Amino acid sequence: MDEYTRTEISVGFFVIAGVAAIAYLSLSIAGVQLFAGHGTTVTGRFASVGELKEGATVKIAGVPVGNVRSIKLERYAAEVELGIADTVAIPADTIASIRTEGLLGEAYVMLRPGGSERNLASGERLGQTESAVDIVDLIVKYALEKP
Amino acid sequence: MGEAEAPRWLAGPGVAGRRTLALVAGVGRSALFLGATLRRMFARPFRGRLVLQHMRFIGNRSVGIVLLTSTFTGMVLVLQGHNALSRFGSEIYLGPLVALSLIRELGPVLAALMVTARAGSAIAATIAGMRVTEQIDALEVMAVDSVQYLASTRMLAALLVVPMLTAFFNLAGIAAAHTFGVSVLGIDGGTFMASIRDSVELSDVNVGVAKSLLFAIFIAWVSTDQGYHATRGAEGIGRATTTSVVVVSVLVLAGDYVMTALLL
Repeated sequence: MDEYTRTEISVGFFVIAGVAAIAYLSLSIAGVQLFAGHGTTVTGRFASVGELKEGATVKIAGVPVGNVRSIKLERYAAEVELGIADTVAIPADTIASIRTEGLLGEAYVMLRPGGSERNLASGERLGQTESAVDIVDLIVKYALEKP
Repeated sequence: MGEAEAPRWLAGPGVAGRRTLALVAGVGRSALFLGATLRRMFARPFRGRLVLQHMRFIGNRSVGIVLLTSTFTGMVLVLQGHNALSRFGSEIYLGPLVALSLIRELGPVLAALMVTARAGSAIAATIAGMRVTEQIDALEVMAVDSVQYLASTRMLAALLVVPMLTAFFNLAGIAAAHTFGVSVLGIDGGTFMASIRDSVELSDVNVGVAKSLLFAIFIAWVSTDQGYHATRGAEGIGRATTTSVVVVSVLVLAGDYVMTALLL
């Protein structure tokens, strides 16, 4: 033990713990984009995305499987790019719909896989989409159309 | 009546002018000192052993106070947040509220203030003591670069150590908030951590680290500068200590606003 001074040893402990803390913060807490980079990318056209934002979660049966990469306007419809984990296969007749968590919660994309034998490859397009439901629209409709 | 005496009414403006000039010169002196400190940070001979000693003093010895204050900060955040959010049934945002407040704002700022209070004041007092007992002159006589020996080593140590202390602050705060929230407020611990992981992004952590690096410069700069340029004996030591703590605290809070405005 005589080769090392107390200062060296205690600073060593401090630095190891410090680096570990910073690494934990940026790797685990900040969760370095689990599905970013690799994975399957599919697109879907929605008449309206409502409150959906980039980075929102994509779920199948309530389980997060990816996130929204980008939302762009194309020919007056929203072109949404979804990044989905490699481990999940997306059948060709999957339906994508935009839902909110609870009545006022965050918007997310729900995928309902179909029964098709063929799976979508990266870059392909989801055939069927359901737009975001606007609660206010529904209320207005209900109020005005009541006999 | 050999020389024309300045009229009485000019004395006021004269004093004001001298004070202004002294203030401007003080700012200039500090800025030049910062430049000199940064330039010598990796100069030869590299004083690694001294840097280690300063890291131990600024870092290791601050861990206790940082953990203690972060525990209470995390607990008060979860208590206030729970009180406010439960009125709207939005407890799911409790985790992001606590974690983002800590990582983006409170962690860097409070850790820096604690380091200033504990280590910054001591640095100013130590160097001021060396100045008034002419030990700095003795260093110069021995051909030791006193700015490098006293200031640059501390600057390097602070830059290495303060971000780590900030990370300790963040993690201990989140852990305390989690423990307190689960055991006292009865929130769901799993949801709490999952919502934190969902909402905190790498850019948030980077903002916190950038802030803590800036604050580290403030701490090392002002406390060494105040000590190095101390005058007038025992009184000067006290003045250097007080001034450095006050100035760093103001700089940290003002710098935090500027950084937030720039990086948001």
